[in-house]
Amino acid sequence: MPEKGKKSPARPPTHWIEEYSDALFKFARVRVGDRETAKDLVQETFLSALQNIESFRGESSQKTWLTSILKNKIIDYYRKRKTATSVPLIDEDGSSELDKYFDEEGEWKSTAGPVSWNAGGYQILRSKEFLEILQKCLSKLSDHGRSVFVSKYLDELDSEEICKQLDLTSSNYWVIMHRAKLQIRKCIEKNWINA
Amino acid sequence: MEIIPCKQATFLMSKREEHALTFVETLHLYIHLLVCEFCRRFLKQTRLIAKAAKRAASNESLTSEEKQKMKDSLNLA
Repeated sequence: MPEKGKKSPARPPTHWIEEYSDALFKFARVRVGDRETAKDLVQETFLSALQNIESFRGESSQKTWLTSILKNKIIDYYRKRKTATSVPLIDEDGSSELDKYFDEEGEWKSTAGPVSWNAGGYQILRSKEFLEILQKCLSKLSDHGRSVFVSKYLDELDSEEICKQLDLTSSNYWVIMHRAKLQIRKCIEKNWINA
Repeated sequence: MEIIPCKQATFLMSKREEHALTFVETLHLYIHLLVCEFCRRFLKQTRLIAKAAKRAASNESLTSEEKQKMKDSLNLA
């Protein structure tokens, strides 16, 4: 996230890549599923910025300005992906994703019930390894799941804003969020060796 | 009051974060959590994940070749 209030002098475009590409790439990478997409989005961001350089008014830092362009690129990316792959609430084999977790009565399946995380306290937030697993598990979510999860918990938007942004109905939103949380929790449990 | 299933309880948790539950739903979830250890864990762990997500950062970075390519294609060389 760009630091607000901390302004560094604007740099000429020839210095943009050295100055900003790493931060922009990391920003994008954690929000999309793969490296190539993140790279493309950063490149498109620089291109748009070059084409609209007169719209930079110096009210915010150049980095903040570029990050806001990138944010919009990420939203566009997910909106396009959404129309390309409509929200699959039922899997190909006819079962719902939720069947992996719950039995017919809606109770946890014996294999799916959350186990206690021994290192489950808030101290694990400081664990680099935990954050890396989290990022890996984010990558593994479906586009739908990742886009709502990222908007909610990284960008800290509320459901109403997210629905508007990603063009989702609110009932779809809650279903997607429910699945995303089940998946990401399970993925972390599987990969978190201290669990 | 009947106990709602875990599938529904875990669904209601996200809504509760945004205060989007009705009074009856709030009560249902509250009672469910009193009796269900799995769902209490689910709530605790997903809260932890949500907190961690704010710090989620990528450890990947662009290589110098990738940066050079980007420069070239943008005519910023």
